[in-house]
Amino acid sequence: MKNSKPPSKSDVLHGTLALMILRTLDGLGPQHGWGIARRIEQTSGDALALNQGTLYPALLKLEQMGWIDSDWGVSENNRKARFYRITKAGKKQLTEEAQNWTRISGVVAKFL
Amino acid sequence: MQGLRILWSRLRWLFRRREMDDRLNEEIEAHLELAMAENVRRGMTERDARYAALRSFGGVEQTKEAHRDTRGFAWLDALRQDMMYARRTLSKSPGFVLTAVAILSLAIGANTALFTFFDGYVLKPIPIPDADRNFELNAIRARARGSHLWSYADYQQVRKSSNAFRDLYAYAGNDIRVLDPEPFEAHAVFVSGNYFLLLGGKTIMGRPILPSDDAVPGRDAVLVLSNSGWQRIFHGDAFVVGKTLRVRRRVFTVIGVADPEFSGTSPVLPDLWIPLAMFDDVVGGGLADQENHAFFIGGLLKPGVAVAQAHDSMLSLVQGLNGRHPAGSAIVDVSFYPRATYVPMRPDLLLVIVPVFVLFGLVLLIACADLANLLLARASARRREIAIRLAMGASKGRLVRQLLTESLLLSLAGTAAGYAMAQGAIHAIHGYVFQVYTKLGYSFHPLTIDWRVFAYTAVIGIGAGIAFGLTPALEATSLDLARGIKQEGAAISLRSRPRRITDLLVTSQVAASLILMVLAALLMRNAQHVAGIYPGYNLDALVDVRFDGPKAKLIERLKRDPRVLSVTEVWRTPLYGSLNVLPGLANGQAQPLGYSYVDDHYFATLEIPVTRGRNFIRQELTAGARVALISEATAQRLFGNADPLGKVFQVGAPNPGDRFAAGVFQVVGVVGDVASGALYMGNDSTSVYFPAVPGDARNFGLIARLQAPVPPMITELQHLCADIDASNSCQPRILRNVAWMQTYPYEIASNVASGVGLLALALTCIGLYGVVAFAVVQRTLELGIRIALGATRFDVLGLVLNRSVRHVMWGVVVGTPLCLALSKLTVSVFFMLETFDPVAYAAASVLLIAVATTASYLPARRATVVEPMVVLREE
Repeated sequence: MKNSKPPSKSDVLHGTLALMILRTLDGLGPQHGWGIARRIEQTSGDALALNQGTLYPALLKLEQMGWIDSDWGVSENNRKARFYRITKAGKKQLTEEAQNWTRISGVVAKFL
Repeated sequence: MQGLRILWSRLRWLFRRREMDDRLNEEIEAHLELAMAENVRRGMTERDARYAALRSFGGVEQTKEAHRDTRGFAWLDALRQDMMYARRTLSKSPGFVLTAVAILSLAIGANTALFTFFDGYVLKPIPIPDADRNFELNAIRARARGSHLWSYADYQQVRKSSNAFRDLYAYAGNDIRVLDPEPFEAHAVFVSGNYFLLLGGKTIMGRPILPSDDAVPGRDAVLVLSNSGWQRIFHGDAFVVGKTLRVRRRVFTVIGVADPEFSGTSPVLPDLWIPLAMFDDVVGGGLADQENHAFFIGGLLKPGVAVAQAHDSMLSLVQGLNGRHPAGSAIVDVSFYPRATYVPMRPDLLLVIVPVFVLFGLVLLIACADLANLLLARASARRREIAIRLAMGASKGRLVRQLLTESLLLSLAGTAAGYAMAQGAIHAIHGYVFQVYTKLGYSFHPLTIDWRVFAYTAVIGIGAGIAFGLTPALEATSLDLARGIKQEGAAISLRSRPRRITDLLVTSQVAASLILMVLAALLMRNAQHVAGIYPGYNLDALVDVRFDGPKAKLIERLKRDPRVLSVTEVWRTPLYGSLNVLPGLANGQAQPLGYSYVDDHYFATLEIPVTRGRNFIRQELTAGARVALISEATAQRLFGNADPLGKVFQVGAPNPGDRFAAGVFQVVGVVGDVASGALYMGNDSTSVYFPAVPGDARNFGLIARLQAPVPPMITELQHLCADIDASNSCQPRILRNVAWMQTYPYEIASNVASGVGLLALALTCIGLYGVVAFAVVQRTLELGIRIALGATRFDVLGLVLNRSVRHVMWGVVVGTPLCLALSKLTVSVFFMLETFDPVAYAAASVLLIAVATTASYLPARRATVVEPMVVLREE
């Protein structure tokens, strides 16, 4: 049951989804899954083939690591939804990861 | 820290499965609604909006699965599901489950029983403290065939001077005659005063033997009963301590009853223990005799002392004692025999053990092949179900895991049943294997199933589960989806090729059972051969009267009894080990000579014909004349075809205890050949009879030929002995029973092998039956078409049978050379005389082919009743 993907979109690079989620939550404040997904897609200019469903296991993982927290809230259309927010540990992690990423992408860029 | 946190949250979520599922469902629902709302805002219809939302979400079910995986212990969750699923599927086919469990339990039970023996004797430490430092010392003497035991003086010296051991103990086993409270032949072990202390022997009543009990020879007439002695002599009397037993002229006081767990360093439990200091009072002159090598010495090495180091110091110590010994019994080396377990693990033991384990392992393999075939059949019946599950997105690995769970569940049930069977039967099997001892009144330290056995059984059980489950699981999940779903039931079989795996399994099963059956046949023939050996005298009429009291009186009484046909005094009774040997010389040629001392009634009693010359005459016996009778084989060896009568031969240095000096003997007669040593070796290659002086104390044997029926006479003989002197042991044995001590290992090996062979045959037949039955069902459509097109019932039967018979044949073809190779390897294990016995090979092969063909024929008959119209209409 493999999904065929339009060739123009890139796969989400392994390990970067967490970074994107953390960044989104850091920028937007508490957000539900749909909101995070939309934000990532918009930010990437719809260039990413994000299976929105893959977000949820990733969110769970981040929660296990203690980088985000979640609680029930009410969405824009008055629906019960789960809202995620970044924790202190998450912010620290985000800074580290961001620095790391900048360094690596800088190195990679030198090759291109 | 991080790892701990994840573990904690996973554990938390593990028990809140439902809650987490609900939470996720809610989230997904919210997500989709929000997405839909946005899509609608963009102008899609509700329907399109929902589809678009679902599309961009990706697989909902996959998300749930991934979420569950992340939640942690997914495998545990999956295992739970698999278990429940497996239980559900299995409970739908109880017949299959029952067959499978029965097959497995038999094979695993047999292997567990075997391992229990191995464990009990070789692996499990004997129940004494620091068993791994316990060694028995063997004296290697200058004279070959000399005793490995020690004199009491040796023990005292060695014990005093050795510094490598914490302490050394000594013991000797003897049968003694208990007179009061009732006459009883007891197995006694005489032990040094430190024996119980060193070996941690506890008592359940009274106290053990202490060093003070063994301090002065003949002073302390005390004894400790074993559990079996307590039961057998005192019938479990709770107030036995302080009661007395009379042995010869001494009255012994019971000072304690030993813990049933304690049996010293031997698995055989004596009836009682007596201090060594009482040895002379009960057994007769022995402690002071420097040449009485009757005592075992053992000890516990000091911590940190290496065996090599201990050996060196012991050797120099012992060589210092050699001045006291005559040259022949000088000790040239001391060997350390580890006594951490009842049987020490040694390379030569492995040579015996490994083939046995391999053979039992074959049975398990046959059982696994059976189950693999059954599962393969089931898997192809479940083809469609599996194809659908694959199509719905189940991963292959997950399905394999699920099918494996099923087979593991089966093997678990089989293992449990097999374990229970082994545990239930082990006592009976143990008794059976050692019946030669139990019939003589010995009791054994019971074999107990411990954690090693449990671990072994669990390992082979799980191993078997994987072995028989993996192939079918892989086979079942590797199929063409579209075809699997579209095609139904029997229609598949038209195109599916005969199963290679099944064929291979059947062939190897047959080969394996052939090996086991040929081995059983060989051992059976072996046992028959040994049991059928005629030693040259009538085993059933002759009785070895084992009487320690005054023999002359007994002989007199026996001669008066009309039912006693003849009585003879002899140095040694036949069948208790091979003849002692002297260096001989005749016609200038050296010739080792087996010999014995007999009186003038020996040949008449044993009905051995004097073929030439004459028997001894009375005067020759009493005068110790230098004359001899020789067997025909000896005459041939010494003198060739020449007339041996009147010829002379020389004997060299006599053994200790011999009654003559080296020198010349004259042949006065020639007698028939007999087998007096090991029966399976046949007639003695040489046998010289020297005259025995009647009444000589060294005439240890007393043999009587009785009128039939002999068995009821045994008790009468005992009464007769008791009448003459009740204080001495008297245990008459029919020579047939003495011979049985030699033949019973063959008998047991043959019976055990037959049992294993039959089990293998039965398991193979069950397998064949299943395979053929399944093939018939699978090929129903094909068979129907063939019949419709004019094939006769006989043709159809042939078609179905052909394949299985071919594989049986292949199995025999492959198995035969394997048998030839293996039987050579197992010669030493099973006291095999003949490894290539065409009759055994032919019989095993024919039986196997016949039974296997029958097992295939029964289900194949169903093929002949296929109704073409019915079958075709069903399709």
